[in-house]
Amino acid sequence: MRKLLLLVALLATAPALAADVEVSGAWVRLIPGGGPSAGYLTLTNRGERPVALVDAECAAYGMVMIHRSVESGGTSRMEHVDRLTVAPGQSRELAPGGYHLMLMKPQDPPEVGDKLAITLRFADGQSLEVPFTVEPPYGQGPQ
Amino acid sequence: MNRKPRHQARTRLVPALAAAVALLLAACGGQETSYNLTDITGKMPDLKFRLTGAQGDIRTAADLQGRAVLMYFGYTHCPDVCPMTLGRLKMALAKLPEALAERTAVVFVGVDPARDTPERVRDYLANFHFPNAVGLIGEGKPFQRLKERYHVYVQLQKDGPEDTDYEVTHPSQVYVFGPDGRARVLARMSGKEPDTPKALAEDLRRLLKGS
Repeated sequence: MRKLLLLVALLATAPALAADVEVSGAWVRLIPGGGPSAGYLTLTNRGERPVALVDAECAAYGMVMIHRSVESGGTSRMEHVDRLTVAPGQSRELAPGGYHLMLMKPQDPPEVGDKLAITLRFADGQSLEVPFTVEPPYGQGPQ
Repeated sequence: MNRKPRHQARTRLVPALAAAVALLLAACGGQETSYNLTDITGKMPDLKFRLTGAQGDIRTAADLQGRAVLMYFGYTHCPDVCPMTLGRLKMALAKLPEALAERTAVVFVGVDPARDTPERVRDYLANFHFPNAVGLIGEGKPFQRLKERYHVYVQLQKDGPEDTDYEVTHPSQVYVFGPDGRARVLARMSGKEPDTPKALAEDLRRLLKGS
């Protein structure tokens, strides 16, 4: 964990940019116990071509998936998302009740207040390591 | 990387029961109501259940007499919608004077009994520090009766018997009962443009002051 935090500390001083993707408001809703937690952020495409988030990885979790919560007919369900495309000049929000990163199989879960490094992988092969602020289960994210 | 098989091909049928709730919502539109949220007075039965609680004991609605009740059907492996909902219930209660918040109970029914063990439900709920919270295990015939009573649709989205990372389809709204046990409003605390904690807090104030 210490190694991870050090890495995040180093990264935090650099602007979070992978080519043309800018991220903001990255936070994790930490659910203690063996179950999954959720990661949220806003992706902005500053480039001239579409970018697509296709995968994410985190050393503290055995598996990370892109999910979307969907409501219809009075019910909520989750579905897997293969790719989340952001058009040039546009932003996509991963936010509570919609798209989110599903952090599964906790191995070395963080604590509230930590910065958790999650690597985002894009369709063009680029990746971006992003520090997520860890909030409690009832957290509402950066206001 | 160890990936879970995807299951886009799965048909996701929301049965008539869940659709009935949506119809019910539509039917309520345009009607005079003294509440901010969707009025279900006279459209849903009084609070009644008998289920194993998170302490391993049997709990019934009689335990909650005199309290406003926020009943939600979720599961402990739910990282997004359930904590979003419970977090917003917490925000609503924080807007009430302490005496009124103390007279409100959050009832969380774990709809995934294989993973929602009493211990897990207890720990999950404890994360939210509600003034009063009751965890219930949605299991067996008593749960079947409760689901039928409130038109609750639950579907475990399992890829097979070995799948332990499955998602669960569950109701998105919170059933709000007055201190007299009567069903009063439905609160939708997740999804796009959810009801606000303020709107719920005002309705709870009405329910508790009127008793």
